[in-house]
Amino acid sequence: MAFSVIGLQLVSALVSATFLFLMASGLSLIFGVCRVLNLAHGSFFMLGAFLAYSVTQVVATSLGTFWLALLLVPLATALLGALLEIVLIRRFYGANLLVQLMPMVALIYIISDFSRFVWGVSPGSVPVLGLFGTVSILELTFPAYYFVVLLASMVVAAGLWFVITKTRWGILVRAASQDREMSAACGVNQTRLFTTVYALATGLAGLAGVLAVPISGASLEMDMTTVVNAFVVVVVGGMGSVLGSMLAAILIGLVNAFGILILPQFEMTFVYALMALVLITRPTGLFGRE
Amino acid sequence: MSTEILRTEKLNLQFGGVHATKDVSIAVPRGQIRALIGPNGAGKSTLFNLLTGFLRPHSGKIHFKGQDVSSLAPHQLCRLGFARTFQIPNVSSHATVLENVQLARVSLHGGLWKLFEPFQRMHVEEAWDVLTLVGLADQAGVEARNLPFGDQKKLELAIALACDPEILLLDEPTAGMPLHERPALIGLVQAIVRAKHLTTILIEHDMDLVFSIADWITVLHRGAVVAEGVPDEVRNNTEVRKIYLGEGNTEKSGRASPEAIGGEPILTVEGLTAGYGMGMVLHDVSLSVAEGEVVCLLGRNGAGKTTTLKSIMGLVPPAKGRIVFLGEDLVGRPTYEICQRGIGYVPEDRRIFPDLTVMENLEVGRRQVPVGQVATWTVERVMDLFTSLQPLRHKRAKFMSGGEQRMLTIARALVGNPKVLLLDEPSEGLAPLVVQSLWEHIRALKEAGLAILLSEQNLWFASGLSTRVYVIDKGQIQLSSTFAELEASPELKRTHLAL
Repeated sequence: MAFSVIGLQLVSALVSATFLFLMASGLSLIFGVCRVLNLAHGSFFMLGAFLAYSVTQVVATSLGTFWLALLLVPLATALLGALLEIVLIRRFYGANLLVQLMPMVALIYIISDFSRFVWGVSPGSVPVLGLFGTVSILELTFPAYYFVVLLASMVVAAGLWFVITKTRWGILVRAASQDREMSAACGVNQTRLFTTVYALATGLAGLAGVLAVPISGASLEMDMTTVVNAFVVVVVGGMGSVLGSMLAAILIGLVNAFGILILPQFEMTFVYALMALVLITRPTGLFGRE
Repeated sequence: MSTEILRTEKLNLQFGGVHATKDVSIAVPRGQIRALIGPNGAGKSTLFNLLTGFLRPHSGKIHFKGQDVSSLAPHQLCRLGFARTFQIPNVSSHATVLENVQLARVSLHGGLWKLFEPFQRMHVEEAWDVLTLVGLADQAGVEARNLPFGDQKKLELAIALACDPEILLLDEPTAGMPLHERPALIGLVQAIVRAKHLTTILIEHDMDLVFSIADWITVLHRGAVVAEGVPDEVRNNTEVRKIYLGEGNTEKSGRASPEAIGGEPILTVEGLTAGYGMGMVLHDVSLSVAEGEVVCLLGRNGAGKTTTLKSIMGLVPPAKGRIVFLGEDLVGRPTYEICQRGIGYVPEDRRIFPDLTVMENLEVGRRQVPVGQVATWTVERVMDLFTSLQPLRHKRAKFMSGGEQRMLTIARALVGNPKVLLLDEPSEGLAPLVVQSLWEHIRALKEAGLAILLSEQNLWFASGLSTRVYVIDKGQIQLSSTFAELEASPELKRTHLAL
C-alpha cells in the first residue's frame, strides 16, 4: 500500500476518532450518572452542524463567523439539552429500559422533522476548509483544518479529564455514578447535577457537529449514523469511562479507515467484529467497571 | 491425626500498595479445627480466597495432600475436596432448601447434562441426610430466601457438607446471627466435623466461640502470621493481646453512664409505619432525640433498626407517621434536602464511594454552613479526630480495611456538619480493637455536643455513650427506658434482649 494512502487514512482516522470521542464521552457520562441511554445524542450532533451552517449562512462564510459558531453553537445545544432534561428526560429516570427508549425515539423524530422543516432536505455545507489552507508533512499535503480539529479535541479531552478528576463537580459526578442513593444521603442535589451532566454532554455533541460540518456538511442522516458509531465506542471503551471512550474512539476510527481500504464492501463488519471480540473477552468494555 | 493435609509456603498477594497476604506459611494436620483470627483488614478473607482458588497468589505455593494446587480454579478445588462458606450466605434464593443441597451434589457428581431425569429424584437421599445433620430437615420444602438468617447460614453449611469435602473452610459462620444463637451453631459445626473427621479452617470474630472450638489458632496481622498455637498459648501471647484483643480493653472501664438530658427534642419520630413494596417492616414507631443527646436504638438483626434510620433519611418512604426535625415535617422531602437540613447518615453497610479517594469521599460529604455560622467540622478537624485516615488521604476507599472504611463513613457524615448523626450499627463486623477505637471516637463526638441516634445490637457498645435506649423488635418499639435503668435490671434485659 502506498505510503501516501496510509498517511492520509491515518490522519482521517484520527479526525473521525475525534468526533466519535466527543460523542461517546458525553453518552458515557450520561449513562454513568443518569443511567439512561441517550439515543437522541446524534440529534444534538446534527443540530450542531445545522446551526453552524445557519450562522455562517446568515452572517457570512468566513473564518470569523466559523469561530463564532464554534463558540455559540455548543452553548445553544447545551442549553437545549438542559431544557429537554428538565421538561422530559428526568421523568424517565429509573424507569424500565424500554420505557426510557420511548421519549428518546420521539426526540429523534421530532428533531429530525424540525430540521427538515427549517433547513430542508438538501445538505448544507460550510465551505471553510479551503480558508484554513494546507499543511505538508513528509511530502503529504493535508488540510490544515484537520489539525485544528485534532488540537480542539485534545484540548477538550484534557479539559474533561481536569473537570472530572479535579473539580468538586467531577467528584460529585463520580460519586453519583458509583452510588446514587448514598450521594443523595450525603446531601448532593442530584436533580441539578443530572441537568448539568446533560448540558455538558449535549454541548460536546453540538461542538462535534460544528467541527464536523466543514468536512462532511450538515445532513438529515448524520444523527443516526453518528449515534450508532458512538454507541459502539462506548460499549468497546466501557460504560462510564472517559479514558475508555477516547482509546476506543481511536481504535474504531483506525479500524474503520483501514477496513474500507482493504475490503470496502465490508466497511462496517470490521467495527462490529471488533465490538464482538471485546464483548466476548471483556464484557464490561476495555475500561468498564463491574 | 498427624498427617498433614494442607500446607502453604510463603504465600504473597498485594492489592495496590497493600500487602494483603505476606509470607504466609501454615501447615494443617488432618482432622484439625484451625481458627484464623486477626483484626479487620488482617487478611483473613484474602487468605481464604487464596486457599479456595478465588484469588491467585503472586508468589508462594499451596499443597493439598502433597499435590501443588496453587493454580487451580475454585471448581477444581471443590472436586478435590475443598468446600467453603461465605460471610454472607450464598444460596439460591428461589430454590427450596432441599433443591439447594441437591444442586450441590448434582454439580459435584455430574448429572447437569441428564436433561430428562427428574431433578426431584437426583441425589435426594444424600441431600436428606445432610439436612438432617444440620437440623434443617423440617424446612426442606421452604424457599431459601424465606429462611431466617441463621437457617440460611445452616443451609450454606449443608451445601458445603453435601460436596463431601475433606477440608471445610468457614468464613465467619456466625456473622450477622443473633448473639444467643451463635454458640448453638458453633456447637453444631463442632459436632459434625468431629464426627466426620473433617479438617476445618474457620474465621470467627467471637473470641469465646473461637477458644471453645479451635484446636489450633493462627493469628494474622497486616497480612502476616504473627502467632500460632493452642488456644491458651495464643490467649496469653502478649503480642497477640496487644494487636488483636486491645490490651487494657477491660470492656467497661471508665464508662460511667452519662446523665439523661432533658433538653428539647430536635428530632421526633411519631407513629412511623414504613416498609418495602407491600410488606411493612415498621409499625407505629415513635422516638425522639434531644440536642446533645445520644440515644440508642437497640435490637437484633432484622428488628427494624436500619429501616427506621432509612425512613428518617427518606430512603424508605414512610407509609404513615411524621418525622419532625427542628419543627418541620421531613416526610416526603428528598433525601438530599434531609441531609442538608442537618441529618448525617452513616449506613450499616458503609457505602463508601469505592473508586474515590479518602479526600474525595469527604468532598462529597462536605457542606458549606450558612453564612453567619461557623463550621464545626472542617476536613482538617475531622482528620485530627480520625488520625488513622491521615496517611490514607489519597488512597482509594476500596483498598482500605473494613475498620478504616467505617471511620471514613463517619468522617464523611461529619464534614456535612450535621445537627443529628444517624449511626447504623457502627460496631458490626469489626474486630474488638477497632470497635474499642470506634467507641472512643463516638465518645469524642458526644463530648463535642453532637446528637446521635445510634442503632446497635450490643448493649455494651452503647454503654458510656447513650442516655436513653429504645428497644426495637419485629418493627415495634418494645421498651423505652434510660440506659441506667435497663442496665441495672436483669429482668428487663432478659425479656427484651434475650440475654
